[in-house]
Amino acid sequence: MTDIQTLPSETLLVPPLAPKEEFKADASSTAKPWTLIWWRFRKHKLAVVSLAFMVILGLLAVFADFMSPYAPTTINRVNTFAPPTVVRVVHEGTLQRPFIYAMKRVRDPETARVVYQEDRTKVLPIDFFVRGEPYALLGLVDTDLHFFGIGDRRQQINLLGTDSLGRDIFTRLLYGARVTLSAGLIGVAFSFVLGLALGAISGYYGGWLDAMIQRLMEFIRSIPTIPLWMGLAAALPIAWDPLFVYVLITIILSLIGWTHLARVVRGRFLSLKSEDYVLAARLAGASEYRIVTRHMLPAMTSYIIAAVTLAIPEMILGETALSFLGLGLRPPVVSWGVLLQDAQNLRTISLAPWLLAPGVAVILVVLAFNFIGDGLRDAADPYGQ
Amino acid sequence: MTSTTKTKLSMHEDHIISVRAARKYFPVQEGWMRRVKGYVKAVDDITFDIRKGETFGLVGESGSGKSSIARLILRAYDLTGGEILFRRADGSVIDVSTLSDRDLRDIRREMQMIFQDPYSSLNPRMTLLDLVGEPLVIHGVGSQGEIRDRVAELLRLVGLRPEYLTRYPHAFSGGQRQRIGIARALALNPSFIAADEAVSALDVSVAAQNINLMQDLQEKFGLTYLFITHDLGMVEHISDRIGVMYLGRLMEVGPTDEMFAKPLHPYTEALLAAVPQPDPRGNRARKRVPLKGEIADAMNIPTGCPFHPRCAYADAKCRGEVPELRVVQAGRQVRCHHAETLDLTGVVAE
Repeated sequence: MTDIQTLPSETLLVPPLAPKEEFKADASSTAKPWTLIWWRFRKHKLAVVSLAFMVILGLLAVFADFMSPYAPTTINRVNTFAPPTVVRVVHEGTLQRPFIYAMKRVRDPETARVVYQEDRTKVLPIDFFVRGEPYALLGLVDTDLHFFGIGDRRQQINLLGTDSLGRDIFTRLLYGARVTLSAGLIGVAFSFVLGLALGAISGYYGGWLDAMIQRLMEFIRSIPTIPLWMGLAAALPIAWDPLFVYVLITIILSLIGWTHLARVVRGRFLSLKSEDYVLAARLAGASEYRIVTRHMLPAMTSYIIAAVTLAIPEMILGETALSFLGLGLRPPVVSWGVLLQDAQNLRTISLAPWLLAPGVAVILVVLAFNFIGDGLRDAADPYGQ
Repeated sequence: MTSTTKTKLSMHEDHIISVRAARKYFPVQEGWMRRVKGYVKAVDDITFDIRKGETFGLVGESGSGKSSIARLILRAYDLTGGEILFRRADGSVIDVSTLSDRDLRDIRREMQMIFQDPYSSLNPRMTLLDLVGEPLVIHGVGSQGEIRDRVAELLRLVGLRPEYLTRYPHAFSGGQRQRIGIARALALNPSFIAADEAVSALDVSVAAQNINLMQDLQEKFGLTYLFITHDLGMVEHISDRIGVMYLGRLMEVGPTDEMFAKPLHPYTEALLAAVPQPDPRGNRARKRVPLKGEIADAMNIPTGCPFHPRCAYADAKCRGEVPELRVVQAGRQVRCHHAETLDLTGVVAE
């Protein structure tokens, strides 16, 4: 020790130590902040269930090509508007491994409409790890292994039915999840960068800079979103690569979405600036960099994560709405909004209500993110009274 | 480079802090153009000295500018005017208010602060080791192991078990947290500590324990305290001298016992009359001077003596003329036109 003068301990009148039992000697006294947050989050049952749901859905989306029985673009002309296939386990009163009945395509004699009938004599057992259409797993490994499928090449298993071109909706839903969920995440990432930077400047420096940024935010929030989106989306040339358009769409969404996050960050900075422990660090000689990184940012991360989680559904809804209106992503890109375009007219919905499945998926995902966000927000400050 | 090279920075040999004509005005802004519509005079023309090794008590109502003075001395705020001299451990004298950031960092080792709120003054996301050791880390004192040993020693000094190093503040009670704050303030061996309402948030018994701890530490390390409080009973117990503040001004400065026996300013008299008396019979015999009204708005300080609207003895002179802080007896200063003629009652010493 260079500078600290060590104290001659025998001359010191050391005050009596606090008795050991005085403490609640449980693990919480040494628990790290994130452990405490997790403990509190865990009490929010709905949030935990939602988190599990999102993790599963995320894995399904990442491994969509493996988990789905077909390719999203495979057209089957003799299997259009097929209803969802029912998975059964009982055949003629005896329990069996999961199977489906073969479908027979017949015409209604009165309306001449195509209807599908189950052929109760033909049992098609569901096989796992079957060979099917080739794909590259994670874009790396070339394979043709699918998680499930049926052996008969002339029959199909369509868990959520098929669309007007006979494409499997379950497959397309999984592929669409990739685009829709990642659009939410990428959009939030953009608005996170914008919101964090502008919110931090606003809250940390204050003054006229703060006033300007606040007015800008209010201006952006007061713009009606749909016409703005329409204008911006119309400005994107139709000939561009759909993938590039996809990135641009998310940027457009985040140009509006960042304001909410900036508000949260600004509020945290304002309240943290006046915390005594920040002053204490300053009086100890800490640099601004140390104060921001060691004292202010760690106290904000949980709030930021909660705010980001609550911002994702907005992005997803935005993407879905844009694509549904035909302003966002366009086929052949598969997203939930694009899939919902098929459900735009009443006739197809009354004939094939399963086309609404992507809408149900959107609702479930938005709800799940909201529950997770609620749970996180409640757990964000484990030290509050 | 440092202010020590400047001339005429001198102070009495016994003094460690000398606040001279210190002023701190906070601008009050209006509208989104941030037009300055006025100033809050949190600290206005304050002059006093703190002697080496003493405890200087600063009392006054909330909003009187007590905390601002502590923050000015520690340079958490910049002065609007005046100077604040500090005698370093090596005997040199510097003006805290004009130090550059680099010199300031150096000075921070010699002056520290204990905060009022034991909850908000400790970062809940840091262990005791990180909290108490932070000043040591910032000033690059010693290796990790040495810092650990030093923190354990500091915790022992304030009556906390060294095993608690890995705990977070939420595992401790208010009084214990305050001790953690004291340990942090002591980490760099300062010579001067400003305690801003350091025990006001605590229960009476816990507050008394911590006061005794602070007194022990003062003896051990020869610390000088600036003890800020609104609790006159506490200040009588711990302080050698007292400054009474009202609306950003010092009304009276003097030794504790003399001031308690016979105050020179009507405001001091009123404050003393409000101190609860343990003996109810003594209470009955005492003259009660209830304080009228509220402390004035710091943006609209009354003309003349700032205390005159609430003063029982005010006359035309008080309304028109601002009294100066002047020496009326040896070691006693007062800011009142009628200090010599008034016969004010204090508290009977036990």
